[in-house]
Amino acid sequence: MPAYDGKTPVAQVSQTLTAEEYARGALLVSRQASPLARPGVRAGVCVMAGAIAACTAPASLREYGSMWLPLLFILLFLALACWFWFFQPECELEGMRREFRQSPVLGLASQLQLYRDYFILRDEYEEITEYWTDFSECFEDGEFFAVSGGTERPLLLVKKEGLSSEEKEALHVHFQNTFAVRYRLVKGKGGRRGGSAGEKK
Amino acid sequence: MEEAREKKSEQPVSPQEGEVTVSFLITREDFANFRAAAGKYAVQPWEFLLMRVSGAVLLLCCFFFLVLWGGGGQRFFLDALLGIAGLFLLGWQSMLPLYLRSQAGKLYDADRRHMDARTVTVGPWGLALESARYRARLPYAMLAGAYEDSCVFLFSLGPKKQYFLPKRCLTEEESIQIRNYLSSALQKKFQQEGAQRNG
Repeated sequence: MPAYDGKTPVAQVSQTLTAEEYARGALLVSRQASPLARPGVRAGVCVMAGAIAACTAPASLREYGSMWLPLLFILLFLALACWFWFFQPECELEGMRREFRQSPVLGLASQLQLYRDYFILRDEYEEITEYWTDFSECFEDGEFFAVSGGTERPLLLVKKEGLSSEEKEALHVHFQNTFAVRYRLVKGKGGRRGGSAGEKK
Repeated sequence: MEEAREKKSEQPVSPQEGEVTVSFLITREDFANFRAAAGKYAVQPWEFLLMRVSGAVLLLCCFFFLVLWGGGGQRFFLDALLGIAGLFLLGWQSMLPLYLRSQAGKLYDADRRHMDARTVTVGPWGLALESARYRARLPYAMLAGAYEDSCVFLFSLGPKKQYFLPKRCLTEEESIQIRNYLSSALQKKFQQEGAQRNG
């Protein structure tokens, strides 16, 4: 493990992102940053709203002599719940793929040098230097280290594919130390460690 | 960190004939103009049209229901809500830049440490950007698009990444030169505020 002295890179990564990888990484950040972004939570909220609408049915019958308005709301909320559970995740992924396709620089082959306090990203046309303190959160799952909130690169994805186990461990420790309570290890497919989903470190 | 930056192989940009090179420090007004332009650029002309049509429909529904059901009590309140929603949608295109400019001031104050000096070079080959944390020499093929209004030139690298050049730093001839470069290189991907309103 390299010395954590701020001058030696913690890791050096060469990677090229695809649209699918970017979409998965962006979705990871989106879902972990806010519980309301998760399909289950949204569908649950809609089901609860439908249940509340159903509770107003007797009052509507008593007041207006018909139940069509509560029935309309029940159907609307159930339809929304189905949309959020079955269809919206794929739409969200497609939106992120479209975002990738609309940003030609994201698909360039890049070299990342990750230091203790900052990182340098170089590709064919750009050189970006950002401090970790400029980022707001870091999430890790079996596929990526995803760091969000930067200025020049709002979402930094570091692919685990191609990294040695020592490099993965070094990066895991580095991000854990750097982001502290803003770091989260997400259990998922090929998850690195066991534990409950969204385990905070 | 300075050693790491010096190791990079990129050569410094030297001014060439036909290029426009401008260095500036981002002011509060610049940032507000940028945010307003970015908001107008993000919304497609058909989306603006849809909002206006929806607003007109809601307003018509408001008057229709008022005539049909008459005034008084709960129904008048619902009609009024419908009318207010219609007016809001009708005026949304005008209100959006004002709202974005008002929010920009707070963002500027919160993020002041990132409002550093920039150098932008626009040439027939593409665009060069330089700041304390970002250096790029981008051919026009790497740009997602560009936008021009009365205050800024906006260069988009994607939905979440834009750079801008305030027109206060440019002479009239330089503005025309940049406009010509962008329109010939980007063609339909280069939008201008007037063309967007009329198109």
